[in-house]
Amino acid sequence: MNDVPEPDEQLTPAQRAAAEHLGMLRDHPPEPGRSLAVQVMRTTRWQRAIRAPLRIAALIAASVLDGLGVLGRRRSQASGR
Amino acid sequence: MSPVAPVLDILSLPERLASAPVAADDAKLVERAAAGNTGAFATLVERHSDVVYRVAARIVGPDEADDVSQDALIRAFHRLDQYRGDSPFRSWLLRITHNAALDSLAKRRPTPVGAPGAPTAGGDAAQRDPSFQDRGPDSRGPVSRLEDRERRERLVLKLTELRPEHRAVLVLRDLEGLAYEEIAEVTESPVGSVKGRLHRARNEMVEIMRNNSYDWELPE
Repeated sequence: MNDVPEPDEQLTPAQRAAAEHLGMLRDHPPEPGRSLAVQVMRTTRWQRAIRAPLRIAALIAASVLDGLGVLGRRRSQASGR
Repeated sequence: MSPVAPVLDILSLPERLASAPVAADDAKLVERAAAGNTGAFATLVERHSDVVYRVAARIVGPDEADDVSQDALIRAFHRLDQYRGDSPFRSWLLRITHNAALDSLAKRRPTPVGAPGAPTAGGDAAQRDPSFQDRGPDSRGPVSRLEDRERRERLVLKLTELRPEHRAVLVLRDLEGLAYEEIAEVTESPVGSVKGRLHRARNEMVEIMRNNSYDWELPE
């Protein structure tokens, strides 16, 4: 890591002046619209609702693929004999 | 008012923002939300969406702030079981927001200056930043308010010229007033690196404000 000697809050006059200017932005913070929380909760609710069925479907799909793999290997072994 | 008063005000923010009872309460809400209680997660969203949005908006700009905030909050929801509780929930959530914001910036294609969609003072993107909205009745005249608003627009544009990693620490420290330790958790960097990066970020900001600028008087 490229640590420099800790300047801490010993600001140069120019940095201090810049920080004062930035205070203008701090005093006027951007605010989220009401729709942000609503949209997030709507998305999390439907994603949560489908998460369990999706996991089950994925497990079933994995088992089926596993089974097909075993079957395929047995057939190739049988044909090799 | 003393000229250094606003700076002292900035520096005292971390102490004022320390809120241990809220953090403890957050941990309980996270536990309930991770167990499937969406109401508990809704409370967490209500409690922290403002800071998530502010940080996202200051890092990626107003156009993408909604998308990045949503992305961060939804990512957090799916990772609730990974929250260990060894740091405040806000820090953990801001870490996800910080990463989502930097991901968004990394995916962004550079826009040629002057091209449609390129940021301009007073342009669409700046106009959508709620920082520029006038807040209620004001004793100052309309000309003075307009000038202030235009200065804020120009300052937001100057902020977007900072390197992303510099912009992030400057926003977290000088605009959000986070303690160094919390910024270290959010950015996943040692405290010493945070301080060094912040120092370089402030220098870069000074240089940017000095470039092509007639209204930022900065001493040598």
